[in-house]
Amino acid sequence: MKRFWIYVGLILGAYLLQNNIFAVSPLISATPNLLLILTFSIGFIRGKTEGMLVGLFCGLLMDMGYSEVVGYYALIYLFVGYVNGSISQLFYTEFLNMPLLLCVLSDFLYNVYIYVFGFLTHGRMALSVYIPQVILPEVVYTSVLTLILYPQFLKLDAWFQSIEKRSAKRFV
Amino acid sequence: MKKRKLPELRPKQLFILLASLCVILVVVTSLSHSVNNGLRGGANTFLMPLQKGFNFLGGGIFHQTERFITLKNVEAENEELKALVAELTEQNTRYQLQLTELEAYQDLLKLKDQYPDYEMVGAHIIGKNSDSWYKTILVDKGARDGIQVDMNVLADGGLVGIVTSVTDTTATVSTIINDNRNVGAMELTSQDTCIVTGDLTLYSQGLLSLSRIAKDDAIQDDDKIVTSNTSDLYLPGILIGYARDLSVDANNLTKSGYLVPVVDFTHLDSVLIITTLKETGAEEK
Repeated sequence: MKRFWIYVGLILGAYLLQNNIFAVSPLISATPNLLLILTFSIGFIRGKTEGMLVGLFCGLLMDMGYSEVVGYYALIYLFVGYVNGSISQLFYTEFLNMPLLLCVLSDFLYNVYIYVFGFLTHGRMALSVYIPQVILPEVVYTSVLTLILYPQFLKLDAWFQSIEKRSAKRFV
Repeated sequence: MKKRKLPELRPKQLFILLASLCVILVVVTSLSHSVNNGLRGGANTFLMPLQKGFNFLGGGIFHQTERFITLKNVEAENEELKALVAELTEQNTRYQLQLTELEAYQDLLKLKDQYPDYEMVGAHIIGKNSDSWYKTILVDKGARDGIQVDMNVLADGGLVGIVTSVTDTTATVSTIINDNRNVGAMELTSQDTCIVTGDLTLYSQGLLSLSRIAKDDAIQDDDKIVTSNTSDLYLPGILIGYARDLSVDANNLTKSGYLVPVVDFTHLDSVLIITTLKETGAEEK
C-alpha cells in the first residue's frame, strides 16, 4: 500500500513538473518526458504488471489534460510499461548502460506510435523533418534525465524491499 | 486495493484487457463529447489546484530568470504596447470588416450588425502538452464559467484555437498550429476563401500553411487573413495572420503559401474565450 501511494506521488509530481512547469516555460524548447522515464524504469525494475499499471495511469493523466480523446496516450504508456517489463525477464547487458538503452528504446516506441497514429494517418510523410526537429531533442533531454533519475528509482526500490522484509519478519 | 486481485490475471491477459479498454475509450470519446468531458471531470477537478500552483511556481521561477536575461523596463513597456497593439489590431480588423460589409450591402439590404462584440471570458494557461508533437493547452476556466466545447479562443488580437473538451474547472484547447487543425478562412477585404492548416514542419519557422486559394483570387502577400463566414466552427472575422510567399500550385488552378500568425504561441500565458458558439449565433437570427 505504501508503494502504491509513493507511485501516485511520483506520477503526479512528474506530470505537474512536465506539463505545468517545463512545457509552459518559453526558455525550454523541448520537454523531457518524465512520465515515460517513470513508466519504463518501474516496468524494468518491478516487472510487467506494475509497469503496465503505472504506464496506464501516466497515460490517462496525459489524456485528461491534453488529448482530444481519452485513451490515446494511455495505450502507448501501457505498452511501454509492458515491453520494459518483458525486457527485464529476457535481456540484460553490462556492455551498455542499460537504463540509457531502455530510455532510447521506449522513447523511440513512443514517438513512432504518435507519428504513425497522429501524423501518418493524415498524410504527413516528412519523417526526415520530424526526426531532427521533434524526436531527437526529446530523446536527448529524456536520456540525460534518465541517467540522473534511474539510480534514484533503484535506491527507492531497494529501500522499499528492505521495509517490506522488515515488516515480513515482524509478522513471523 | 487493485493489487490484491492482480495475481489471478496473468500479465499478458491484463495487458490485452487494458489495451482493448484504451482502444474502446478512444473510440467512444471521439464519438461523444459528453462522455469525453465526463471522463475527464473527476481527475481534472482534483488536479486543478495543483496544476495552478505548480504553474504559478514555475511561472515565478522562469519569469525571474527571464527578467535577468531581458531588460526589465523594456519588457514591461513592450508588454503594455503589445497589449495596446493587440487591442487595436483586433478593433481595426473588426472595423475594417464591418466597413467592407457595410459598403457592399448598405444599399441592397438593411443588414443588422453582423459582427457584434463577442462576449469573452479571460483565462490563464496553466499547462501545455509536454510532447512536441501536439500543441494543446490547458486553461483554468471550465464549464462553471460557461465554457463549452467548440468555443473559439483568442489572444493578442488573433485566433489561438478551439476548445476540444471541458471539465468543471478546466478546458483543453487545441491550437491552430496543431498539425491536424484546419481553419476555413478568407482575405479580409475581398472575402476570397482559403484554408489555414497547422503544420509541424513549418512550426519551427513560425508559419502555418495557407492553401486552396483560387488562382485568380485577389489574395496577395501581407494581406490580412481572417476566419471565414462559411467555417462551421469559427466565428467570422477573427484575425488569424498575414499571407506570405503565395505561389500558383502545380495544378495551375489554385494558389498556396504560408501564413504568419499574429499570435506568439511560445509566449502565451493568458487567452480570451468567446462564449458565443457559431451554431448558437446562427439559430438566434
